[in-house]
Amino acid sequence: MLREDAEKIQTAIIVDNRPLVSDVYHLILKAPKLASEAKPGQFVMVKVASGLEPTLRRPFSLHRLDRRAGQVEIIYQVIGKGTDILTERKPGEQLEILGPLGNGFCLQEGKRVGLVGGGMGIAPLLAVAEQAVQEAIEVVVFLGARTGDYLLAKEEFEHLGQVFVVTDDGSVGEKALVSKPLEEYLQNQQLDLILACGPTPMLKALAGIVETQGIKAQLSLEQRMGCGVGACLGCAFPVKAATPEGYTYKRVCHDGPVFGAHEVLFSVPKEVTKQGGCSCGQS
Amino acid sequence: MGKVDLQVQLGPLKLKNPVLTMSGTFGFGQEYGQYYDLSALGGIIVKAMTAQPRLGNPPPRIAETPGGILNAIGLQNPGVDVAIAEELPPLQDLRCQGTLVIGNVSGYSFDEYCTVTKKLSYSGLVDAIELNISCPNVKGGGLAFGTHPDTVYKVVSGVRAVCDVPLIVKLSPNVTDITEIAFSAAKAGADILSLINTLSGMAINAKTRRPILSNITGGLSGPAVKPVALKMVHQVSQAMDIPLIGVGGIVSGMDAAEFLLAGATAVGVGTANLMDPLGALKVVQGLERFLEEQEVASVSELIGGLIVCL
Repeated sequence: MLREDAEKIQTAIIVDNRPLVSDVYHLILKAPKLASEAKPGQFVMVKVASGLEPTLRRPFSLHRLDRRAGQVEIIYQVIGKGTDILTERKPGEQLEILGPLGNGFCLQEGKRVGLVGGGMGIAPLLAVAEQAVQEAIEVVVFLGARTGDYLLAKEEFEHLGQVFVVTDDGSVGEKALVSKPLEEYLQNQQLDLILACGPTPMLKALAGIVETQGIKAQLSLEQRMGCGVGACLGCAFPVKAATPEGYTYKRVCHDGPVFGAHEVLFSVPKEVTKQGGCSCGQS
Repeated sequence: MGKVDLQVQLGPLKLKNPVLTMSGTFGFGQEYGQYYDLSALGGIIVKAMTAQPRLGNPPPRIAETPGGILNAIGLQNPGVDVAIAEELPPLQDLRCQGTLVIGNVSGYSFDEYCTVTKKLSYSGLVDAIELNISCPNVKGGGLAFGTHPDTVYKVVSGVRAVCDVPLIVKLSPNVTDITEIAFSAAKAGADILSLINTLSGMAINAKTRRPILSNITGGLSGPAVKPVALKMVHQVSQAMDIPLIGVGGIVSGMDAAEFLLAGATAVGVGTANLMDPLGALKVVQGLERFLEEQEVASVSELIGGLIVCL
């Protein structure tokens, strides 16, 4: 009755779940199958509580994959009911997880890869940085956050490559957007590939930079998500396409979450949004 | 599988079990078919199809609310021609195994409903057609087809004339009297009614002072709407004699049993698919287990079996 993907539904055991900063937690899960199968850039849906509340699982990127220990690490920000409940879950408890989901980053094209992370978007970059270093690919890391406290895993990145940091308040590094050190770097050095995750304005700015510079880039996108498996079309993101409208929607959960910077559209032309559709919900 | 008989006769349709997956929550079955053998289901109602491809609404399209979700996907679909050429053929094997494949038709005009129905009906690729007349965005000034008895009659009778397969009409709960709409749909030739579609609602982020959905409003579904759905199924089943598909917040076999008792012959699972990829399968298994525990030999015995002491 069950088929292959049903094995993505797994029971993980919480190894650790503690705050890094007041509203950002570090969750370590014992989940050997997930740890052995997942690729950097993929994600997992976590059922934070048994029963019907909250209704949906929560998607989280994979911060670190420790295949030897059979563990995966997640960094999450407490932003609502689901993540709030998750903070109360204790080591030793079980969590139902669904994953790995999505496509993940692809390192193939790079000898020297730039990793650009903003805020919580820093989280999935550590896994890909560790993989890159294992494959003898040089990484150059650009991190930006509200304050120094939110420069997640800065020390870990520093073990892997050159790291540039900026903050919104100037508490650590320059008071600037993360695009600034990246652009400065690119003035006299080269990157073969850029992998990025962060707030949409950051990714939009980055897409502009890589287009001008002719650098390939992969962006990990975020969207409110429903099923996580590609069926409900809830997590749509506009991408360029040869449709009459010039774009189409792809599913962040299934076609992504990693997309080529050249294909992503950060906003949809106003005149076409109007004829969009209906709110009957049956759609 | 056990000894209980799960088969039901839903008007002209024979179902191996009463559990259907609802349109919009199950795509064209492809994704969930990687998780389990879909022949475990009574039937699949596939994604709504329109005459032309539809991009759907800009994101955000989905918001979680207490006990449910609010969505405004906006009928994103490849259009009926592509669906017939690419999406429906892979499902034909299921039909050989007795799992029904049901097309869902949506439209923005009377003509569009008829065009899409005709193409689907003549394609031979579906066992039945479900008509989504619960969509507020229609040509001619926003009169929703599904909320006025006269327009319901007009569109259902128009579609009926070009539909060679059993016709299911999906009713909106966003009406004053659902029985009035049900009567119109039945009079116009609907074989079966499915109810309820989502409840119109909205969600607001107080910090940003903005609606969460780009569409501002959306459709509420999930366990939160179950009491409303049960009441409406009961109400329609009391008022008239037409087979019903009960839909609204079903996540367990027990939930399904409640709808059958209220008067439904089959049930639809929607939001539960989003909560758990095995959601609909668990409803089938849970219903079978419930019947065994209750020592009910056939699921048909539950239909309309609600005991009301006056």
